[in-house]
Amino acid sequence: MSAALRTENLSVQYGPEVTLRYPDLNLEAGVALAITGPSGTGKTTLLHLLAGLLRPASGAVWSGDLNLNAASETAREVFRRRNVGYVFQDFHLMPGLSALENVELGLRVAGADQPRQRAREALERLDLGHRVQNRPGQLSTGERQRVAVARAVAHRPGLLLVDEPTAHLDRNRAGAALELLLDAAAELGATLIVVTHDPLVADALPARLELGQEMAVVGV
Amino acid sequence: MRLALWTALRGLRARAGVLAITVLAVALATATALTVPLVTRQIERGAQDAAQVFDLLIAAPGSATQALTSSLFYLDTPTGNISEKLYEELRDSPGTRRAVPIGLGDNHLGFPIVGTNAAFFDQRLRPKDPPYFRLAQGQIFSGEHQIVAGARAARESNLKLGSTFKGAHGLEERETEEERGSAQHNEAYTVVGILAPTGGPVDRALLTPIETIWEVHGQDTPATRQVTAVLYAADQLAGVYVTAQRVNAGREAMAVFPGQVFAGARDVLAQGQAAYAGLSLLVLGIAALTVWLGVHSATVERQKTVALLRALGAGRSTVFGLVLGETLITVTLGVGLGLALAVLLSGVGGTLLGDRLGFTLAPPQLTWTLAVRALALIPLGLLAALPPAIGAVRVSPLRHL
Repeated sequence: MSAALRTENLSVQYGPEVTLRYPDLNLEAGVALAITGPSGTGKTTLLHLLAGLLRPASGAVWSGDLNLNAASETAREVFRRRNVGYVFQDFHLMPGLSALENVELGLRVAGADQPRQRAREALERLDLGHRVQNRPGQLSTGERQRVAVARAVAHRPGLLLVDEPTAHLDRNRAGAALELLLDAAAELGATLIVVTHDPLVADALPARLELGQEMAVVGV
Repeated sequence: MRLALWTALRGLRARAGVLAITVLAVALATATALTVPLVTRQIERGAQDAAQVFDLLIAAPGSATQALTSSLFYLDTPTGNISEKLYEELRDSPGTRRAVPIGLGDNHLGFPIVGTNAAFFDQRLRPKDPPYFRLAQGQIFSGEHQIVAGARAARESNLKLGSTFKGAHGLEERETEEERGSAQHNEAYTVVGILAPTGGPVDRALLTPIETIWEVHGQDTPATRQVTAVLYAADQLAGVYVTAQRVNAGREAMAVFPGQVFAGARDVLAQGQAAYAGLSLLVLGIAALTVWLGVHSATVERQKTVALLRALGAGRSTVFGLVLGETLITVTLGVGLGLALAVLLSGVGGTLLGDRLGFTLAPPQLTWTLAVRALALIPLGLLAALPPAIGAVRVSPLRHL
């Protein structure tokens, strides 16, 4: 279920000399936000913070009433498996598993009932019903991305985090990928946060956070 | 844990080559470590069974083991002969339950012709048991040159009731036709009975009255008559020791307790087994090393799997269980296959050896003492998997994504 997402005074320390400081976010449940900005401004790191994969040096991430920074490791694991769908830039599909098993894995981690059947349905909704037994190495880039999206949405998370969804795609396929994500988020009523360099993606989303070099990176 | 198992099985499927090599290495090491001890125990049990129908073996002085292997298993040259007079003294002594003469020296197609008497067929494992040897066909011999054939001897030399053959001198079949011709006795034997199989050495024997042996070898007078050994049983246990002391006090013969000979043989075997156990440990050590290599060769791929699982929200116990589970499945498969292989190989080896030794070995018995040698690989494998399992829990998933 989607929940409001809020950050306060977030900063991340990289070694003794670099600190990334982020502007505060206050997102209503179900909004779609693009995070843009030059390389090195910490866009992907912000996604990691929002997913509870990384603890900030200071500040807090609130998902509803849950302060991820203060939560135990177990609580953060539960948050991820129940509430987060993450599409990685390189997809991170397991090469030894079929498309179906990759999606099933996500559902099993989430503790979903009938994971195999639901994985098949998720793939069929993304027009991959004929590729369920193929392994990632046998799929095109676009197909691999759709498998990654299927894995991220199949357990119906409230927060969908997507890292550079069009990085590996041409213009036509980028448009299709964007439509796919928007449709999935709309169907779930999920909050969608997309890190992107692509103006096509950024312009298509109603909200945008632009991380600037001068704003996010502070030399110490 | 179901998620850990589900992922572990698919991880192993993806690395089927490494899995097969590791399982095979563990299986072969297990089989190598267990097959020889299993066969040795089969032999010990088979040999002891064959010696349980009497208390004491009395034979010409010499090696006790040789006396036993010749007069009981028909596998060696006898230590010599003892006089018929001594045999009669033993037979007629107070407290004697049974004294069975054994006379060796001839064969038919390599099967020993054993001179004895009707008391042979009255031998029992325990006094109240039925006779150990049972006739499958015909009857016990009642006159000279009659033969009661052991089951295997009858089968393999194609002897039936009424069949006749001529015996040859010597304990083994001669190699050339000429040698066989010169060794052959003139007198023919007639088969009057065939024994049911016992699994013991008597299955290979061709039993005939001891008088026939004396006649064939020209021992016409009581003074010249000899027997190879006497299988002696007393009414009381004390009687066995009194007889043994009495025989050993004289110079003509020695009394052999089969149990003591087997114990001695077991000591010798134990020394060999100790050396073999050392070698087995080495082989098992190499198998443990292979498991360790298998665990670590999959490190990079497993790190990615673990990182992904943790990023998706899998608990730390799940990824810990995944790493240990993969190793547990691999080693258990290897040990299981190895145990099956060891039982199979010792079964086949035991059959072949039993065939050669002349008695049927019981099926191999896998005891816990033996199995634990191989089962020790399981905790060793888990120990090898422990560092990567702990690493999977402690390292941030972002490091490998």
